[in-house]
Amino acid sequence: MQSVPNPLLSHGTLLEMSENQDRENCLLSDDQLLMKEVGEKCPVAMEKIITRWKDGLFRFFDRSLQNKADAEDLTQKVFIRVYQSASRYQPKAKFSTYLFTIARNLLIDEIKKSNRQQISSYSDELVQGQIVQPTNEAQEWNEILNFAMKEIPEYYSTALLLRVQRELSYMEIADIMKVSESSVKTWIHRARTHLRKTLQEYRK
Amino acid sequence: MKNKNDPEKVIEDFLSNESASLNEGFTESILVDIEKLDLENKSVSRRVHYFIPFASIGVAFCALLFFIPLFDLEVTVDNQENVALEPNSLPSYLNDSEKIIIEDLMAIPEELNVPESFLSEQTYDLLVLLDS
Repeated sequence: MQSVPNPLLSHGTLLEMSENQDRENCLLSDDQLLMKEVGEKCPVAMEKIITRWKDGLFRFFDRSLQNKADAEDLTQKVFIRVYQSASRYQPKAKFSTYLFTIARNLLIDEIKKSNRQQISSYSDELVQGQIVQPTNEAQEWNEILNFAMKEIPEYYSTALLLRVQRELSYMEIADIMKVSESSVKTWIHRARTHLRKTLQEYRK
Repeated sequence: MKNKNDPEKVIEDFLSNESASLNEGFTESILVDIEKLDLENKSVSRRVHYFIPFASIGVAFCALLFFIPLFDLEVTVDNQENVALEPNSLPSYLNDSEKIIIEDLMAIPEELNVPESFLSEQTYDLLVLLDS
């Protein structure tokens, strides 16, 4: 006997599919939903993502590289990469984890590419006139801390910045950096200790 | 409440970097870049589609060029196999008369190997004569 397609069944299946889609969408965060739209080449969704994340990324790069122009370039590159890979995006982890994984990869590339010079100490550069004499105390602390940040490895500063700026959990930072949670805790502790020590040395 | 001069507070403020922000035109400039990127990708894919027939013809031509020398080689190998044995290449333990017989046999044209050619009784007689 020839099987006749049942319109009710197909309608039911469609309904079920649509319900599943709705359920799936409910579980997704705003950013993940926006990413789905970006994957379908929606410029409005992309604009929303940029507006939401641009300052956070810029602050992260600015503190990591101590260079505003480079920080702006990298922020731009992150969004372009997000756009290019949006069609392949799978909402397995939080969007921030995805975004900062891209950001960190670009940061490492930038550090390797620019082959940043070994830094001298803050007081050396001040004596040599390579930096402007700070006019107030807050500015001086900022300069000192900038130097202290240059002295620590990239993974220390990245872990610390993700913790302080993004308030990410140790687990999330570990996911981004592809290391264990205990390594992250150690790096953050060492980075903080180094900053504290450096600041205290110059304040004496 | 933490003092403004407290080292912990100073470090937290420094790391937070709250004052840093991008200019207003940043979002627009990225959207323009993305649009350009899309246009470039479209034109590249269009160019790729345009070149597909030419590329396939090129590949076919290269394959042809690659296989022609192989056919030539096979012919050469066949020719080499059909070459009669040189007298020097015969084993030394054979008598001179045996060598001559073998040389004669090798010199027989290939058509004679076809069974139909041996149907004639005279041919058999000739071979027996040669063998004796």
